[in-house]
Amino acid sequence: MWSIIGVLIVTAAIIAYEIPKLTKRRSIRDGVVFGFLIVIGCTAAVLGSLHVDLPNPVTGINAVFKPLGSMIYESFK
Amino acid sequence: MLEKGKISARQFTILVFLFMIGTSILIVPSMVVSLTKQDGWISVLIGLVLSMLSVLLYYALAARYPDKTLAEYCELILGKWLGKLVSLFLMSYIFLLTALLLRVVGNFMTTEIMPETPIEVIHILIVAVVIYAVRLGIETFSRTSEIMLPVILVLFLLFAVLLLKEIDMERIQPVMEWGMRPVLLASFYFFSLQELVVFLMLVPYVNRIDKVRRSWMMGTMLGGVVLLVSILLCILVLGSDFTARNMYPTYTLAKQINVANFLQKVESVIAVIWLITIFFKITISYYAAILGMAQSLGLKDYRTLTLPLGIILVVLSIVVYKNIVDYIEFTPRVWSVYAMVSMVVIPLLLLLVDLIRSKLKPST
Repeated sequence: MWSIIGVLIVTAAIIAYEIPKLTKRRSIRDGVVFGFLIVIGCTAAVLGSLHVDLPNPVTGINAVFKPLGSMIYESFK
Repeated sequence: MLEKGKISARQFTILVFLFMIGTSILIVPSMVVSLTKQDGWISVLIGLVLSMLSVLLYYALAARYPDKTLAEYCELILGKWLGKLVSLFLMSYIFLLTALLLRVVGNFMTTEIMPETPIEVIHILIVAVVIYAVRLGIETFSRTSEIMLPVILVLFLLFAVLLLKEIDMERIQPVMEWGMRPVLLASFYFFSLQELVVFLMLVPYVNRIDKVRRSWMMGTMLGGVVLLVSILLCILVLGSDFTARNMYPTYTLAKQINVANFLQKVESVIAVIWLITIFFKITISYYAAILGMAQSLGLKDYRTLTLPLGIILVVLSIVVYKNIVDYIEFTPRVWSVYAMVSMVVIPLLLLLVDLIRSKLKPST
């Protein structure tokens, strides 16, 4: 519970800190990327503190590279 | 230009030096020695030669576009969309690398120094400092590295000298007991952990491009010497069996320091070396990833990305491994192959495509 509140407070603080800089720069692209990343980050952090299993890039890398990696390991061991 | 800072060739050398030591000094001895037993030092030597060859490749690429970063000339060489795709792939590799480095420090701190502290807290504290450093820009953290270098050198010399009397030369014999194969495998793994490709993002900010090759080589070599000395000390003092069974043998090594029953328990002081070097390794790779993403996405300021990606970085560093067994399975067996795509295949392809393009269009 407290960790979720913590995540939300930190996210709010980051948004409050960056918005004036973003409006001063007048770049829509910067704003879109920032908004996209902060939504992903906040969601991931909240789900993480609820102990939800998040998608893990290592699983994908394992699926693609493990056969070759194990082959190298076995043939040189 | 997103980054207006300039660093000197000497600062570049120091950054490469700290980057080489980084996490490697903690994880390399155990990983290499578990495969090769007492021949671990030979693997580090061969791996170091491979790293220096890779620096020649990177320099050949960087010298063709001396005022551009990797992310920028990806687009120039491969065209706009394919270039952006390749560059974002490289940046995602560097970003994942940053998360894994963070996890290495977290694991080290929670197993050896602060077992009661939640790992998330350590990650958040480190990321906060790293974000601060990255926001201040390349000039600031390069100057910091100059201030920190004497501390690291003095502590490392102290560490090596105080262990000299514990050395037993018999522990390194017999040489090549298990033949060449495991030695070669371990040197490949060692090479895959020295991700010097990250520095392609920093080269254009060195004020004299003609000195880059020399300082890049120098930093790689000096960092390699530190790694070689620490793995030799591990084998000579702890023995290959004990080194292979330890998760962080260099830390166990520091616990062996005992001068006349008076100077003892200096391992936390020695751990300062690892923490400083790892801080620089994480800062450099985080900076490179963020700058590259900002350039590929065409943003006006890379600093916008630092805070939101910082949250993602902390979450990612927690989810990448469930436990230490996952980590041992993944690093280096699978990671080494994945790293080769970004460290060798893509730079080599970029160089080839660029050479062919310049042959086809001699006028430009």
